[in-house]
Amino acid sequence: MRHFIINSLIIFSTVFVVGCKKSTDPTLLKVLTHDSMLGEGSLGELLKKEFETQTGAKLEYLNSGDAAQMVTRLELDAKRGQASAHVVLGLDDSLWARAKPLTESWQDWKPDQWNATREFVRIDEDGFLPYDYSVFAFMADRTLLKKWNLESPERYKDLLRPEWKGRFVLEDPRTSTPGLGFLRATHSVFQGEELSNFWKSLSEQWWALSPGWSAAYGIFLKEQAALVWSYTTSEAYHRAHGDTKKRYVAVKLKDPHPIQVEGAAIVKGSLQTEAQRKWAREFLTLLLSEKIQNALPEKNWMFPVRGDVKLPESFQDVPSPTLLPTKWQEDALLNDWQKWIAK
Amino acid sequence: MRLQDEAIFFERARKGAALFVLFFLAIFVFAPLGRLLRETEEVIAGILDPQVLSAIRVSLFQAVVSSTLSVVGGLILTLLLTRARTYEKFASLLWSIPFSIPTLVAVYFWLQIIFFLNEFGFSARPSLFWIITAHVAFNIPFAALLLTQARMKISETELEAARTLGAGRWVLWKSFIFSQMRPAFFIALLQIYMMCMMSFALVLLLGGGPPNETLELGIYKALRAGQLDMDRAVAFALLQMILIAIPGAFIMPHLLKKSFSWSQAKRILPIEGEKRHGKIFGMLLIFISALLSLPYLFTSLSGIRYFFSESEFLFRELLRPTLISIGLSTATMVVSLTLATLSVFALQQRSKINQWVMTWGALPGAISPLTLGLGLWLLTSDFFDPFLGQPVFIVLLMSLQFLPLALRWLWEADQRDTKNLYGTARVLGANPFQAFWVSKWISWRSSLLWTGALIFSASFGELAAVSLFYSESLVPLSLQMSRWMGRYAFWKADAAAAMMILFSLAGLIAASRLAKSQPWGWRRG
Repeated sequence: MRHFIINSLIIFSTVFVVGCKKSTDPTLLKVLTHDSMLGEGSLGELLKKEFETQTGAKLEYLNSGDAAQMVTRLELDAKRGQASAHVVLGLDDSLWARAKPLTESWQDWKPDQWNATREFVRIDEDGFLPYDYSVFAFMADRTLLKKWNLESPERYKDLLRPEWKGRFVLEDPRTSTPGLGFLRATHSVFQGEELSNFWKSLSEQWWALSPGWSAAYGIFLKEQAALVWSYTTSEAYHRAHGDTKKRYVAVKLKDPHPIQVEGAAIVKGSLQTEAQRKWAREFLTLLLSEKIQNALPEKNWMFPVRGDVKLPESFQDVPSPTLLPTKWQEDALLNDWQKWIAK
Repeated sequence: MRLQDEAIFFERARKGAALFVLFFLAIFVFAPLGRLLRETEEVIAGILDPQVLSAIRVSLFQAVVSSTLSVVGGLILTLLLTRARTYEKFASLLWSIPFSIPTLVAVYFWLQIIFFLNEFGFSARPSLFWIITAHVAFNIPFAALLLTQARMKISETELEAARTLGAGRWVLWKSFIFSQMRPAFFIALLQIYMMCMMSFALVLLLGGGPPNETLELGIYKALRAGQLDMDRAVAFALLQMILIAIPGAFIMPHLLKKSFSWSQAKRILPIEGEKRHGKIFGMLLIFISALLSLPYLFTSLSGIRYFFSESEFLFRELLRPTLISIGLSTATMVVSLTLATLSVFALQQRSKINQWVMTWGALPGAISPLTLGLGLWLLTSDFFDPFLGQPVFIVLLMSLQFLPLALRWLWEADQRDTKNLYGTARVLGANPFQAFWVSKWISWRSSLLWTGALIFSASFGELAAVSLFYSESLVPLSLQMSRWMGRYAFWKADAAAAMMILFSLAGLIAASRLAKSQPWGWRRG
């Protein structure tokens, strides 16, 4: 019996250890990123090709699902003291406060072309390298607006009108950065009880509060909703993909629009050699290179952070609404939001 | 081997099997639960959180309403079956179909209904209403099966005697029929309540997000969606355990002791005076049963067309998740059946330790895989990165989830009326293996095949365990399908649903060809 138990223990331990592989290739730069940076024809693919050509080192992506999960992964790695990647790509301004303690300081280093970036995207002078940004906005389906006799909203409070019930899709601010952007936007417009009442009423209005942008946009494209909370640059995407009759348009509100700045950073404690530090910095520098910044608009459907980059034609009609400032603190707001929408 | 040596050998082997099962359960059920219970202060701190209170309200409301409506619906079907003079076998076959339908396929069907209604101007949208509707429609056949089995055990002679003595229809129903069906009624009610409390994929995709979020969804969101919030996840998990454990403590011992076997049941004789319109009731029964069972099949099988028109997609996007699912489901089936077989082997001998096997083996059925998964996460995340993908944990959680079902059906197979045959073979000099082979193997083989096929099918569509321990290189078909559904890439979800159903059906057809009876005892031919 004793042998039986010992053998069982050995088998289970072996099976568990198999799930715990580690790679220590010194010529490899590991980049932690999210879904949308990967795949055929993606920005990630172009970055890998350029990086490997320029440095001779190898680049491997670790996919973490979405941006928030990526930070969770960094937190778990830090807790265990085992960094699984050297660079994190795809952080945004809303996640930076959480991610900053887990990333490496640049000290006296600055990437080339830092000064060519727009000032409002530099949310931190140390550690966060911005590479693209966009403005959050409602995308409207003009065919559905006409079918349901709806006028595009002018302000956030218009969504509370009875005719908008079940006609728009938003994202959950706990799990989606556009969702968090929308919460920020309403916070800038409504104060105190007005804000909580707005959300209580809004929770009766939406078609769904999707966990992420892709789900929300899917509902919109499936013609279940006439409005979806997205980016102004989504309009450029439709224009580039044959929507010449402007069926899908970004709605410019009279209220301010929040923006999202995406960036990359070096993971604290991940670099074992100076060569790895050099590669990590070269990777960050590459993000601001002319080639990548030029490719960004029609790969990521975001604006490049460099002001000297010419935008493609599909971006010419994208509206420019009033913007909200980028630096803010969301923790308390998210907790309050959960109380407002609880049943 | 001498008889005495043989007896000692088997006694030791049974003890060994019992200890192995208890050791396994102690490590993978009690240790994670114990780890969770160490966090009780989180429950106290978290219970006043409005989001937690909201999740408790939504969980309880949907589970209570769904289970009540399901059992009432099941009772109506049972009554229809009593009035029908024919078709009961066909109806029971239809009721067993949802057993083999992966939950995700059912969810997919209801999403299509919402879109369909919306296109016709009904302004339908995901909500609590759709969560309850889908739960009820999915569980009515299950309730009907349990209740009909109970109804079939009622002695027709007793009923006939009461009728002769002048008992009216109401008195018969109240004093004879329902009073004997009452335990089954409450067992069905409680079991469906538990399943609805632990429901994951259905609430995730049909609820439309907050405020329609349950405790089960809360665990998942606190762990794998957005910011990692371990305290909140623990609060959700412990509260869910409390809400499930109370009724679960009532139901589990009953489920194992009570034998709802068609083989023991008799054909229901129509009550005198109720024979009229039997055919009409029969047709109505079949119509409702088909309505509750077949649409899932038709909707999902329509995706087969993409296998031919989109063969590139099939190889590039569908093949890998399918192969991963086959691997995980096969492993789950093997682990579950092995544990159940060892448990039943141990249970053949009455002892205190074996009573523990019976009780502990039934316990995982009352714990949500997400709760158990959270315990495993807390126990092991310092050593194993859950974000790297842990297939062993996925298999473990799924195996434990299906263990009570496997244990119950194999136990029933072992207890069928073959004791005399086994005893005779032993007296005639057969060793226990030979005696088992000639007396019990036929019944065991059927149960192993059917139970294995059903566990394989259910694992194919399982989402909860998978959602905790997946990684981007370990995305099985269920998760990939839910992502496609989440992104409303419907033709891809269509193809995934078809693939799932094809594998489920293949398993069931193989089982039906090789086995001679179903685990719930309905014999072929």
